[in-house]
Amino acid sequence: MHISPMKKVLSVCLFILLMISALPFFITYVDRQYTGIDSLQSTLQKFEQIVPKSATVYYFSGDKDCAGITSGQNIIYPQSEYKTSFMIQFILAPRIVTIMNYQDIPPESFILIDQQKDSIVNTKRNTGQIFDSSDSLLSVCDGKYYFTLLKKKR
Amino acid sequence: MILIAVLLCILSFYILIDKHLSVGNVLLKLSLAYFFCFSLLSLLYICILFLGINFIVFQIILIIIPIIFLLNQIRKKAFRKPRIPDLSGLSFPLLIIIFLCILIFTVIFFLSTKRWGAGDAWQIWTLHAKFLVYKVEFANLFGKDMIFSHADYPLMLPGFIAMVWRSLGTFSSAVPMMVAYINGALLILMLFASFYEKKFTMLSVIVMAILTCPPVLFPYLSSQYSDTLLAVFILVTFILMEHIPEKKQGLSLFMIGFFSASCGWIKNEGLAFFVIFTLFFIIKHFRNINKIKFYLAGIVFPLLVVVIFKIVYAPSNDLIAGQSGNYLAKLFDVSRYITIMKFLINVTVALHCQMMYILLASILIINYRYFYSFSFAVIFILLTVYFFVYVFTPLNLNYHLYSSYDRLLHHVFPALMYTVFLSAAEKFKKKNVLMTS
Repeated sequence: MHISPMKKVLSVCLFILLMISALPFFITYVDRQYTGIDSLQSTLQKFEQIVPKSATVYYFSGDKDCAGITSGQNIIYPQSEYKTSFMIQFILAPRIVTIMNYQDIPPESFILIDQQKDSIVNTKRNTGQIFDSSDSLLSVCDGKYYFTLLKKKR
Repeated sequence: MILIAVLLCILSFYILIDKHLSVGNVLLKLSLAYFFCFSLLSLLYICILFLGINFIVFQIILIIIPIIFLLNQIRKKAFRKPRIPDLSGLSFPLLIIIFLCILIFTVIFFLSTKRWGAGDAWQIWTLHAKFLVYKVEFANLFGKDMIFSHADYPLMLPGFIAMVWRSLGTFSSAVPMMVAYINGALLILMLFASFYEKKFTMLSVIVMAILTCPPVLFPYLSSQYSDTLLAVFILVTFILMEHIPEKKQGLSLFMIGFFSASCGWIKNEGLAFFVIFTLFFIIKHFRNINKIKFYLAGIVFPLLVVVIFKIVYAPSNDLIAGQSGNYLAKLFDVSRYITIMKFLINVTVALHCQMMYILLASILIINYRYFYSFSFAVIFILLTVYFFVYVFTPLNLNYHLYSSYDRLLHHVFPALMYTVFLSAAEKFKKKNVLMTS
């Protein structure tokens, strides 16, 4: 099939135009996905306004032995909490999100605790000490978890 | 504002390449200009962040300088007369195949990619980008308390994304996604363009069709990781090596230096590539100091930024910090070699590996001289370095192999494919098999 060079160039231009016009559709298709990050982000939105950008946030999962309060050991994060801590780090950036022994947290630091709604007994045992020695600043629920922002007392 | 600056910069570099490089292909010139700007803007953005320079001023300068350059070119009438791109080598059915390849690539990319990308994309690269948007708090990224954020990783991809985010004033997930799409698409198109430029028309279409197949470059291509960007820069370095003009080689050699050093600004593995490539480049051209001078001039800026970043800001790398000093014990530990070899045998079922072995076996039969070539030497030594990183790794060996081996192959696969196909094509050149459509 012989086609003149000009027609070939025109078909290339037409194809490029077609691709450019299709791109917004593709971008919207992916951009409208609702991921775990987006869900958590809408929950933690208010926290971002309270915690200064340069602050460090100490994160604990209330379902686990919080920073070794009962066992004296650092928590070993299973995959799901590990992922949540990364998500929180991503959402709260440029704030530093870190995990360490509760006893080592400096006074007046921000503490973020997640608690599963269904395991209040465990949560109370694990996080009781943290709640007792901190001021509660804000608590939000995303349906499955309570997220509480605390500030350690002096 | 930054998008206008990026477009103006690409246009300026396109004109510069058009004037000084003996490349006729519009697509190839455009791709080279894009990646040159990508690296340069990322480096400049990190510089202004480290130095505390105002971002608005930076954007204005980025717009003014290319405009002055373009106006100067217009005044001097230095533009080449626009010509219709030469598509004479392509028959219409081949053109349709190319369109189909691009369309298939696009559909697969957007169907397989995710908002915020795969795990490592948002846990490392996009996370770093988010820090780099803030003019003061970016330093938090390099604090010791961050959870496994790999803050020692170089910042080309995060730097570019952060620059666009800061200019747009929003953390849109479309930015890292489009960057990954453009990089992936240009990787394939650049391979096509380079073969087409060398008049291997049929081969250019075959290579494009192979690379569009989902298991070859995906899922890394759509993961939004930095690995594809590193694969592109390694490939660009080899493509430029194949397109050095006979006369006026200055800009070409400068760009080779710039792209090879830029690899070290993408990932730590890129630093290994840069060192090996530079070593071989100097050995190859040790009689021609002029060539080495132009090459070294190209590496100065990216290398300077990488060195400052590594010395001043980056925390120590986990592989280096975790070393307990028992190097000799690890070097002579046969069980480590057995574990690695067992793993290598097991992974040969992956298409990536099969294709690499088939490529190497085929070229051994078609043109065994490839194994003496500059490109093979660089790739082989790079893979050897990767091998010894596994031997000395402080991490669990099996975990380290499983989590990184595939992506290391992804870094070198496009460059290996390009150089193997080119070597085979040149062997067949006389027979004129691959040159006609």
